[in-house]
Amino acid sequence: MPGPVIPRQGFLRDSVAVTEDGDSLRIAYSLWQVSIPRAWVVSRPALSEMLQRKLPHHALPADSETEGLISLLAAQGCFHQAAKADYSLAEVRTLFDPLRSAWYASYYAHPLWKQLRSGEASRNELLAWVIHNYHISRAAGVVGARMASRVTDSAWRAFFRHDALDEFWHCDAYYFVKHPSLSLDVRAVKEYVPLSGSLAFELHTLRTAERDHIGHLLIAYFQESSIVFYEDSKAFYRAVDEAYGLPGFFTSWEQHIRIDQEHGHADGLAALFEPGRRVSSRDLHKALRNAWLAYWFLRRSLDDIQGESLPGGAIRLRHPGRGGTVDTSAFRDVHSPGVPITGSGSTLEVLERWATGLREHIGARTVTVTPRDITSLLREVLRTAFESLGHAREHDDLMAVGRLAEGLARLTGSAGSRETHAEPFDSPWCVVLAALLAESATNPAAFLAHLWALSACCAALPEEQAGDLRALTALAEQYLPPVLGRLRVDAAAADRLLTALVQLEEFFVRWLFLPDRFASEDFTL
Amino acid sequence: MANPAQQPTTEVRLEITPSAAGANPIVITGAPHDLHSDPKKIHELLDLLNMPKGTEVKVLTTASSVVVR
Repeated sequence: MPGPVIPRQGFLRDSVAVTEDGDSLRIAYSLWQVSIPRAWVVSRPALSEMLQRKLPHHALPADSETEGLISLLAAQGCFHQAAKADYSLAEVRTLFDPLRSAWYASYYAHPLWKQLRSGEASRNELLAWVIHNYHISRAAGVVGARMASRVTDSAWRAFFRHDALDEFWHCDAYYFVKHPSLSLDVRAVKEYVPLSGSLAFELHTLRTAERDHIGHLLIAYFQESSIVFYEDSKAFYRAVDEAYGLPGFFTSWEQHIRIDQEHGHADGLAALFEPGRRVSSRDLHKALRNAWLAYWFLRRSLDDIQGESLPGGAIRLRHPGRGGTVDTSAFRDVHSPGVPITGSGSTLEVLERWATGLREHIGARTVTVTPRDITSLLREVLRTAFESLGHAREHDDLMAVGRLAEGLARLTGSAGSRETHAEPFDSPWCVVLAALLAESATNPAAFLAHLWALSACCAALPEEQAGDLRALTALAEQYLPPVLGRLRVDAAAADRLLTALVQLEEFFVRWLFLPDRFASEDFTL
Repeated sequence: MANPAQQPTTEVRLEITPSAAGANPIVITGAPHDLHSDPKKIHELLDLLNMPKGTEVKVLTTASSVVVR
C-alpha cells in the first residue's frame, strides 16, 4: 500500500534520471537535460554519492563548480525541499513551479501528441481529442463559479467571479467543434458523453473548488501557465491542420490563447500567491495532491483518446442513452443490460433493468481494490449523505437519506468523522467515484439513484474483497427501493439516468481492475 | 561544507569588475525560478553559473497543445 513519500531534504528526487553516455553523465529531469563530463564527477566522490542518492546536496564539500551544478539542478527542481510548519503563498508558488514543469514534461511526452502531429492517430481519436478540449473548456467557467461561490475571502471571491464570467462562454466561442471536414452536428457535440478522464477532471476540480481553495488555485495556475508553450502549440496546430485536412480549425483556439495572454490570466492567478497569506504544511500537501490528481486525469484522458482508435476513417461517437438504450460498444468495459429501458416507469425500474447482467460482467476477474479505498469511499458516502440530508425537502427523500446517514454513521463509527493525515485514497478512480456521488448531493433523488447504482456494483464484488461494502449494499437495499419505486421518470429522464449509470460503471470498473495509484513522489516537495 | 539549513541559491548574482580603474562593478542577477516561465532560460543560467568545461544543457520537451482552460 503506497504511503506518502518521507521527505528527504536535499536528496535527489527519485524521478531524476542519471545515466552514462560515453564520456558524459546525463541528468534528465522535468523539461531539461544536463550533460556533464563523467571524469569531473568521478574526481568528486561526494558528488558521485549525491547522484546515487546516498548524500544530500548540502553534505558536499564546497567548490564553485560543484555549487554551480547544484544551483542548476536546484533551479530545475531536482532536490527534495526542507519541510516547514507553514508557508507563505509566495513560497508555495516558488515550490510549485518546478513540480508544474515536471508535470508538463510528462504530459507532453505522451505518445498521442506524436501521433496527432503526424496524422497517425485515427480520425476517431482526432474527434475524441478535439471534443475532450471542448469539455475541458466547458468545465472552466463552471469550476470557477463554484470556487467563487464557496470562497470566503472577498478579494478571491471577486477575482474568481470575474474569472468565471471571463471563461464560461469560451467553450461556445472558441472550442465548440465545428468544421466542414468533421462530420459532427451541433447536437452530437453537445451530447457526446465525456471520456472517463475528461469527466474525472471535471468532477475532481469541482470538488476541489468546493473544499480546497489553494488546490483550486494551483490547478487553475497549472492550466493557464501552459501558455509558456504557445509557440510550440502554434507549430503543433499547423501540423495537425495539415495532417488531417482541417484548414482554419485551430484559428479560434489560437484566438483564445491570445485573449488569455492579453488579459493576463496566468499572471492574474500568479498574483494571488501573496507573501502575506500563509498555508499549513498539511493543507499544502493536500493542495499539491489535488493539483497533481487534476493533472493526472488530464494525462489519463490522453490514454482514453488513444482508446478511441478505430481503423480507416471509422467514427464511433459516445452517444448518450436514446430510446432506452446505450451503444455500450462506445464505452470502456461496461456491461450491456440487453433489455431496452423503454417508456416511463419508476426510477427503480430503470435501475433494476440497467443492473441486469452487471454481476456476470464483473465476473471472477481479479479485483485490485484496497481496504483503505473501501474505508475512504464509505467515509465520503457518509459525508455526501449528510450534505444530501441538508437538501432534502420532500418527506420520502428526507426519510430515506436520513436513515441511510444513520446507518452509515454506525458503520463508519468514529472513523467517519475523523480527519486523517494519511493519504486517504489509493486509487484515483475511487476518488472520482466519491466525487460523482458528491455532485448529486444537492438533489436527494439523484443521490439516492446514484447510491443504488453504486451499491449494485459493489454487490457484484467477490465476497472476500467486498468488506464493509456489503453493509452499504444492505443499507441501500433496505432504504432505497421504497422511495425510488415511487419516483416516476419519463423517457427523456430515463435516458439521462441511463447515461449517468454508464459513466458511473466506467469509473467503477477502472477502480476494480486498473492498478492506477497515487504517485506521491510527483507531488511531494 | 554547506549549511544544511540553507537551500542552494535561488538567485544568481554575477559581479563583473571592469578593468578600467575606478569603474563600478556590473551586477547581473538572474532569478532561476523564471526558468519555469521560459524553459529556454536554462542556457542563460548556464552562462551565469560556474560549471565544469564541457557542460551542456538541453530543453527536452517540445510541447503540443496548451492545457485548455
